[in-house]
Amino acid sequence: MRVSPLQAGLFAGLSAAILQAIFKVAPPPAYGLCIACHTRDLTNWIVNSITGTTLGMAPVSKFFPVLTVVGIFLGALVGAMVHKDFKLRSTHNLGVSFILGLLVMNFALLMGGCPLRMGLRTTYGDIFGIIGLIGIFIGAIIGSEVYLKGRFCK
Amino acid sequence: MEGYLPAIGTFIFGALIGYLGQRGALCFVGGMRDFYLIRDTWLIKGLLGFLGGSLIGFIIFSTLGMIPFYPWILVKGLTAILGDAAGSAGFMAHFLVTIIGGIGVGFLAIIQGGCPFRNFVMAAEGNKSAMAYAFGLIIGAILFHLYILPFVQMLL
Repeated sequence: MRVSPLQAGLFAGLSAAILQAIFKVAPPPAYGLCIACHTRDLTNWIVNSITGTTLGMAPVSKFFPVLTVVGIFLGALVGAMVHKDFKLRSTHNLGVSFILGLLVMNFALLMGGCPLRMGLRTTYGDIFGIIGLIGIFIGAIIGSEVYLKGRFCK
Repeated sequence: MEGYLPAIGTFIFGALIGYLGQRGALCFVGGMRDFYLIRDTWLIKGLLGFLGGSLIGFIIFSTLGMIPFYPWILVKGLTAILGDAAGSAGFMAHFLVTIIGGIGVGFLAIIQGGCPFRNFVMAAEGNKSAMAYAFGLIIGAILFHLYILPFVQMLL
């Protein structure tokens, strides 16, 4: 089955609204889908349960954490297995990738969400959502110029 | 049962979105990169579709009365939706953390080759770098709440 990014995005956006309205993934509002925040909720819930700390998390996850990232991982695993896309490989140095993930999580939580949630906040009517998307676009332009083109560091 | 509803819903819809995202290679930062570098609109349509789909969904459910405070900017003005590091600080503080965070996420996502969503999907496809990246996200979340968040709130 061929799926275009447009169809996948449309379904993801609709399901974010469904998750908030029917499955009560709130408060805070516009929280239906977010990779960074939902990873944070799941991680901190597990760490809090094991070690007894009080790391912060969204109110919706206080009783039982949201499982978006587990679902996404399993769904993508099924897709890759069924369509024979699964192959062990590495594109970057593993240590560099680990540091990148660590930094991205800190910047994303500073901003209050990953690109998905900034899109949700934009359509929910939050001015900071569109500011975040513009910031990501600026960052992508800087990254393309500096890293991909190597214009400033030959 | 009531308390488990968000977990059940996010698991089911997460699995569906993960499957579609794997098939369609959905990536927001990748779409911005392709659009900027080679003016290719195939991937950035994913971002536009996401905005359109969530807008339709929010409008439908708010007319049914199932979503409070919509649209946010008319009800609450220029206050941010809860969730970013600035907490209850003023407009400039929210603006600063949002723009700094956005530029950081965009820049680092270009180096890694995709936004966090795409990296979870690539990890499921067997990409070991993406698995290391996902592990970095997990450790980063703990570090953020232990050290970075108190530091940022002290600054603001």
